[in-house]
Amino acid sequence: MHIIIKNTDRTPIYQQIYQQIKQQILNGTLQQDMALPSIRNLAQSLKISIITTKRAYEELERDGFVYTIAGKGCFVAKRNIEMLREDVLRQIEEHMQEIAVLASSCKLSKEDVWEMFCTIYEEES
Amino acid sequence: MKWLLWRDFTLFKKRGLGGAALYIAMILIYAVITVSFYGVTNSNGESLHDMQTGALTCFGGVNLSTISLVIISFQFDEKDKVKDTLLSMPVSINNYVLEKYIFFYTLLLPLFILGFVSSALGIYSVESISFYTIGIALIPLLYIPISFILDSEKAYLIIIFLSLAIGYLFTQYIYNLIISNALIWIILFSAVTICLAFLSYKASVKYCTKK
Amino acid sequence: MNVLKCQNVCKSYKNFSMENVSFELPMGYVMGFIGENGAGKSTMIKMMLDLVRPSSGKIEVFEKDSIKNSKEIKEEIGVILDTVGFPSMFNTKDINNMMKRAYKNWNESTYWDYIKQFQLPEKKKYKEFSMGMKKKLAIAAALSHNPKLLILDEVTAGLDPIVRDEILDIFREFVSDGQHSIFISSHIISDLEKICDYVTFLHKGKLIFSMEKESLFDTYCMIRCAEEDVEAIPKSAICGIHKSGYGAEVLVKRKDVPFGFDSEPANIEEIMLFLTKHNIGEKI
Repeated sequence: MHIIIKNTDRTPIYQQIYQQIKQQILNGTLQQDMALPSIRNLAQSLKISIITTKRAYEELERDGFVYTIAGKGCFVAKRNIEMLREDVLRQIEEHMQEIAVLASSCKLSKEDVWEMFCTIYEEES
Repeated sequence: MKWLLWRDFTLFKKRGLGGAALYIAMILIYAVITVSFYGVTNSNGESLHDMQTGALTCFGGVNLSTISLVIISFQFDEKDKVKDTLLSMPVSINNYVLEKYIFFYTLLLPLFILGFVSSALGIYSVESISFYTIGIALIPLLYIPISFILDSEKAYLIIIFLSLAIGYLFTQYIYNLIISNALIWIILFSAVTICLAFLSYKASVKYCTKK
Repeated sequence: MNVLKCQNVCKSYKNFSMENVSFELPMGYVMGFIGENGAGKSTMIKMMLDLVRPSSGKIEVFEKDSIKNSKEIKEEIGVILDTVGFPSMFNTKDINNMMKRAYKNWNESTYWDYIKQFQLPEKKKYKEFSMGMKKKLAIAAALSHNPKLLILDEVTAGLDPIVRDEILDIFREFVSDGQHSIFISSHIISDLEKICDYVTFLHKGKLIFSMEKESLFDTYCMIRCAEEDVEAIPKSAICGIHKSGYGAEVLVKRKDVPFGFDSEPANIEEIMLFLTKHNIGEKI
């Protein structure tokens, strides 16, 4: 398992951990039922506070990527298509939000954006 | 509380010439002076027994130096700012304060013993030694609370001034007035000292952490 | 279990008063204690140790009363005050001898391991130690009686970054089993930001907040914009503002900022500064 924390990154540290673990679950680096390091050990290794690590794990659990067995620790949950799809949808939504902000800052209309998107979509496929 | 005593005595020993070594030398000098007065008479054939006033003043000087040495221990602690560190270790404030008294009186103990030895040898009268013992016993009772309320430096100056003043007044004026009824006065002074001990301890505990 | 619990603690001096300070630290976590000089941090720490008595209110350590059970509490805490005071004549050996008499659980081998790790001389007297060596010795002494809680006042001040990193690692290891906790005050906010789980902020004797570090970052964020653009930010969101003449920095409450503002995370130092020096609105 790899986790690289960038202090220059604007995203909060807990989110960086969340995303990197999630990524590794989705791409199969972390297999189902594999044990994740304990919250306190991970915090110690990454030189970050316990509560930050705890939050990353809590969000991973909330979103169904990991499950916790009391007294034993945290394990990678079963990957399911629905989960993958939902995650991708959420990512698309996030990007779209950014597009919306950027578009309005240079007064680009909905139609202009749509046109741009169509061109890119056709090129990609 | 034992560890505090261990600490104070170890430091006292470690200071060598500024501590235990000088202290032992003083006690020896004191012992030699006491013994050498044994049987000595002046030109009129009077034994020193009759010249207590002068002799006691001489002893006062030695004792004051001895007491100074004890007080230096307190001043070192103040300079090192150890109080808060020690109080954050396992000891109650009461015991912390009590230890100061025990340390002080332990070092004064040889003075008391020598005083009684010299009176037993007949060098001094029991009365004058009793007054003198009470006088020394009063010093820690005054010094310790003052050192907590003000600081050890000021307490030291106050104590020196007070002991000289009281010593002088006592030997010059009061001693002759009360010597005829000595026993009553000794009992009275002892009672006052015990009351003072209680008040002194209470005040020390109260002001120990106030500053 | 809360290892530390302060309830409505008040203390008044001639020129200073602390009012109704309440917070708690659960077992297994690190709490950072911040505030400007004279905010009352050292007074608060001294009250926890019963070196100063509160005028009113209650402090519990390990769920025991800090005044009544002072001695048994002190067996289980390691303390480093900002004025580290060991007798100047003592060397590391003498301090070991004193400590083993003072603490029931004193572990000599732990102590000597730290002395070795910190490369402290065995024969030198304490007064000949450098500032860094003094702090390291205090840490060795504070950790060698198996304390459950460390109370540290400005422990990393005056130390170089390498030593600070080394010390923070020791503290992380200390809390890693979930049974040990740390209460640490410091002006070096970056150190606290790295290690603490909770942040308690005292300003002029008043508690500004005491909360999880993560929820602190959730609550506040920074907006950097042109001065005239500040108008567009809802008044209710603004906590503190600093105008440089060329632009403005604004500390805002994240939840009250409408969508579309370009905000960035605020660090603890910014939050501290903007809630006090650049504070507007809320009276602090």
